[in-house]
Amino acid sequence: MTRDVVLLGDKTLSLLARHLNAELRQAGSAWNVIDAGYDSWLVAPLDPRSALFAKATAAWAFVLSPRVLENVPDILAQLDATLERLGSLSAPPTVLFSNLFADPLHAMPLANNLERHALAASVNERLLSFRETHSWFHVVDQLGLVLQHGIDALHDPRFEATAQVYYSPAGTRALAALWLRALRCLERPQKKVCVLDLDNTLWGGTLGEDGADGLQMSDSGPGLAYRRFQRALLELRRSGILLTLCSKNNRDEALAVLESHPDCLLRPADFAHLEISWDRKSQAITRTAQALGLGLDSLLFVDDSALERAEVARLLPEVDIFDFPDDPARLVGALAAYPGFDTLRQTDEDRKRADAYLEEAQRNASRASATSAEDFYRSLELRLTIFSAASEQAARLHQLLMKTNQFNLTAERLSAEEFRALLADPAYLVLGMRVADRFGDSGITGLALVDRRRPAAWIVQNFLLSCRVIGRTVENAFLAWIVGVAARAGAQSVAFRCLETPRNEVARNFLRSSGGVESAGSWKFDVRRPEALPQHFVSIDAAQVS
Amino acid sequence: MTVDESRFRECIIRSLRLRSGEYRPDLRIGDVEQWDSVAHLDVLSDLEKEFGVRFGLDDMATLTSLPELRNWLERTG
Repeated sequence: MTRDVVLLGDKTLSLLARHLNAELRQAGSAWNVIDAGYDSWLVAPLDPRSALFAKATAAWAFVLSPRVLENVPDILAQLDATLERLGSLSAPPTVLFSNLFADPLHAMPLANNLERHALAASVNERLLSFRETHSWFHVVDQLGLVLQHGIDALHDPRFEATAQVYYSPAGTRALAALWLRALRCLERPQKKVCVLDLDNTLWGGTLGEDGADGLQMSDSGPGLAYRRFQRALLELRRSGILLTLCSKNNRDEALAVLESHPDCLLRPADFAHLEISWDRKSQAITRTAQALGLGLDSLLFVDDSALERAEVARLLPEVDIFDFPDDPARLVGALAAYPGFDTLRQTDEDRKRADAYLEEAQRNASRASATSAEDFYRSLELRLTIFSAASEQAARLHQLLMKTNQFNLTAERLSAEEFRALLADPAYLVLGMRVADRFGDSGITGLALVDRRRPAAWIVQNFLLSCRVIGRTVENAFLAWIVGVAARAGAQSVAFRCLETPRNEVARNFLRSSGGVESAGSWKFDVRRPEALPQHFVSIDAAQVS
Repeated sequence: MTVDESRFRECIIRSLRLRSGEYRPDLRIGDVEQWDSVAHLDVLSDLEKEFGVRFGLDDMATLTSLPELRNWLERTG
């Protein structure tokens, strides 16, 4: 099924629509681009007959050129009015808004451009603060595109005069590539793991031949390229991407470098999993995915050796292979060009994710020393907060719905717009769940979509938990709590829908052992028999649920 | 300059994303659905890149058929 995205701008965007549609078709995307026409950005949102309000329209994309700073005298007031209009829509679409830059080709540039740049910065600040409070609003970094390529490479006054396009045909290709990435990351799960080689990847040189002292990763000279790459990888980690190692080396020697080399920025604790051995890389990567509980299709493999890349590509075709540059100075640029980690928005849970794997290692150590499973669960001091979802949590909950594969009863994905419609539907109870224990706060890691259209027989359309929090009886507590709420609301039964997928065996096994009765693809729980539900060791704090 | 006909043809086919058999040496704008005023911008830009030339503003408005474009390249390029 295709989903329409309507382009709105101050100039003609039909050339962008032409290129973007060609790129989207080639990428196998469901997005279809429609051009709202010349100078449509202020008028079309006010016109209920415009393409913006058509049924198939799922997203609006504002692509403003720097000419708005020259042609719209009260640009800040006009922008505020547009944002207010967007904020007042009862069912807002997904909105993408490009940030702005000032064109420096003007009379008296030394004096007059400074104010123009400041005005563009004010526009961008307003966009960011609106984004802060509206989960469906995203900013697309047009400014970054222009800084990267330069206006002379993107704009041509002849084409502007001939056809009212700000971007030249060559510039439009670059702009379409940016918008392709923005639209694709709204419909595709983000990759989760960056699997890294060591020699000539994290540092220059080979540990076995050059020795620890001969490795290049210092702040100057040829090592700088690797140091900057390590810095970029730490930024990935802070943004929720897991780093793992996959190196053919002597384990103790490699660990000694990571632990104590003065120039090495990455330390062993930065990696969620280590594979340092002489095994085949395809085997090491398979073990990595298993250890993290993730599918192979969540992984990117980064290795300077074409032979290793070829081996992994042949044996593990689901794994993405990093386009490793010939020149290490291009490593950071190549990472920026890789679209698999793209996202338009980061959640608190993303920022916590890498540390969560460290907490999990501490939990496992505690589990190993506990005398019984029950003792272990009690020692965790588990706390669950269950809440009726509001729009502030929509971004994270939708992310969870899109990314969770293993503990997901149906693996049915909803678009961001469909999800927001459920949130607004009083017949549905959309429940979010936060988990914390004495080792750390895992944040929002559970979601249930409860259909109450038949008051006596509730149906849980989907029930899912991040695999980071399962195995601590949290899932038992969440299920029991839902059954309890149904009982208090006067329902007689709660049925959990369950569809088999290749990846959700864990979730199906959980449901099978939870005391329900199966019929026609769902498991039904009798609210009068709470004693049949599985035991848990969790204190639950629930906000008022309506 | 002498315009290499196969280079010229390939450039136009790529630019307009023509299907096989749609190319004719005497095509003009509007003759095939792919060649509208928007695609025309790509035709001009791609020819400039392929043949290392630069159209003037007036040329951009008046060169609207393959014979005209080919003649211009032979005369100017």
